[in-house]
Amino acid sequence: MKHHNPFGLNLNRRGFLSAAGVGAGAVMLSNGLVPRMAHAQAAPDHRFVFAYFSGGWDTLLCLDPRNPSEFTEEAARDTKIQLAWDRLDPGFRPEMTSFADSPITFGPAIGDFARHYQKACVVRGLSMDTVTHEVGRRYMITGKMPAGLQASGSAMPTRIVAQNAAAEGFAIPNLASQVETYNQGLPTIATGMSVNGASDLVFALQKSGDAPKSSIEGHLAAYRAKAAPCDPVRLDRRGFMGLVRESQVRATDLVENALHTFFDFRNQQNPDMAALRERYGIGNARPGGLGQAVTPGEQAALAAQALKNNVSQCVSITLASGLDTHDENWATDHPPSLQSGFNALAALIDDLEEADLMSKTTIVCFSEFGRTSLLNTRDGRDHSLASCALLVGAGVPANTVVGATTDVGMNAMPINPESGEAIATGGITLTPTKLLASVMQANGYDPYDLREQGLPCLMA
Amino acid sequence: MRNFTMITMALAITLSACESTTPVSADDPAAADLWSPTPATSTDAPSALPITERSTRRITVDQLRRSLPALFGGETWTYDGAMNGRDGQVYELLDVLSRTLGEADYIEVTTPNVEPSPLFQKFMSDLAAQLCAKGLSRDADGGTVDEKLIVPYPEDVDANLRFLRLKFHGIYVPEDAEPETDGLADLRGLYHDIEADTGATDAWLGVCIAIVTAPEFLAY
Repeated sequence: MKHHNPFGLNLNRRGFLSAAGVGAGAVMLSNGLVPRMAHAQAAPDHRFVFAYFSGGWDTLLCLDPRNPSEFTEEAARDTKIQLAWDRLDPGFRPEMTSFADSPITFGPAIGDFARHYQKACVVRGLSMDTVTHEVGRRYMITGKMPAGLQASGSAMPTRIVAQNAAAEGFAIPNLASQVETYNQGLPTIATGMSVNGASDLVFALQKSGDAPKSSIEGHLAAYRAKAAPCDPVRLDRRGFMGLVRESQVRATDLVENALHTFFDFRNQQNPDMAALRERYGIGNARPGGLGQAVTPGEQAALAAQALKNNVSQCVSITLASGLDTHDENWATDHPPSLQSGFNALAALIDDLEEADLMSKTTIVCFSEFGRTSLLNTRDGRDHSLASCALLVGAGVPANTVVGATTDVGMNAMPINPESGEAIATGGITLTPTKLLASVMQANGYDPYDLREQGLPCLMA
Repeated sequence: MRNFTMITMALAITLSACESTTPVSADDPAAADLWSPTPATSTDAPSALPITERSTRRITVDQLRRSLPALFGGETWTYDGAMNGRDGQVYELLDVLSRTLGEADYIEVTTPNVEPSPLFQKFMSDLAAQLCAKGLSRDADGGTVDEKLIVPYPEDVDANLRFLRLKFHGIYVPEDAEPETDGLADLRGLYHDIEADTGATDAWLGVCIAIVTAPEFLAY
């Protein structure tokens, strides 16, 4: 027997139970009791570049500028924003760059990157919740607020590689040059290979001059394959010995594949390297020695070579350093360092475009925090809670600005998660967790570990 | 509110589907007796306590920096810039590559990376090859048995393997241990394989590299 209910639904007992079951399932889904669906299908050959600007960047100089005709020195008392661009080297024009067809504006240190504005999503008002270098850096690297200074969770590239079933196809799936990398409980294949720069990478990947003759190496490989560990109960309880043996095999593979040739930028015999040096402004002379500081150009070239030659799926690089300018060196050191980083980024984008890789590469630029909008008494800028990020490439809502900082004191503003527009009340606060969850989800990876949904405004 | 209603309905349906069990009445003497010891339901021996010691860790760069000279008579892992077309400088590679090897500088990196990564293994292989060759070269220069670094007992392979096992892995193998169970069978096999191929010096080089790159040396 059927009863007509007042809601106009014809339900018998079976129908009611069925509808209730579907409803309960919907509730479970909507409340995140099961892993959320990815925004897009993850492409196994989708690549990522994480570009770190080390020291805390001055966002007024690059990604979150103000119009100098409005934000004058005289108005700084009210706005709490002091551009002080007249103190910069004359090579930096003290003006804001804007575009007729874009909401994006750039500061004087944006360098060559300005020409790529149509591919960019500028994220403003990123609330870092810290002014400690290690904490901010690790927050941006992992997407999780560190516990004290200790990184919490794995680095983003590690998470991505761990979810990529085809990661084995890359010789070094996760390469980190001068950027910290963490793996907490994810497969070894996802562990970042950490290097100081291209010369160290070349040294690491090529066969050592001290290597024993090949016949000895052959016997060693056979020995390692069968040697019984001395104390498996104690040493291998958590897989340590297996990890060592696996890493030894992978190390041998790295050398045998001659991967070092891709990163030997100063090889005068290789015409490809000459073109690379030209593009990235790398000098001909070999650096004095190993372990030397490397230029942003070399870092960008390292990323390009790793991606173009299928060496890596994820590359983390440092595009600027020495940005922690609390004194008068803010005016002299900070802008050139920022500009060099953005110039290298522009060259990297050009290179990847020519290789037809930008359609499957996402670039995330970040720093550990921003800098104060007012100069301190030493004519430098201190640490600010509000920062920016720059997203470029696949999965990124191009030619957009998401979020904002206030016109008084440059504090992070809440945003509408759908439109990305800053709103005075309500809305949500942009955090590194939300940003990185969006990057993962937009490209088909599951940010389950971050316990955040990607924001629609950050996903194309 | 709508979600709450749906959850309530789902719970009600789930609970209604459960088999009912007879509730224990508060009047039941067994329920009221909270003081009598409960008899053991099993006579099995208690299971072993979980092991709570710390996990095995990889040796740090600083530990290598301090232990290698002690093991190799003051020799260190170096890179001769003059020999490699760079400059005339001799580099201490553990210092130069410290960041790549995962050592914290306590300025930007405050936590050492001690994962046994492929890159670390590659460097350990390079390091072992160079230092073992240096050690064998020093041994060839002469000296007393006590001064020898790698091969103090060239005439007695087993004695030398026991010496290396103790020196590098801290594992004592008694002289009268059975060859089948002394834990040296694989190393002995490696020695004889290389010796048959290219001679005793190469064989000791191979054994030395195997020992320095073994998990037993890298773990602590």
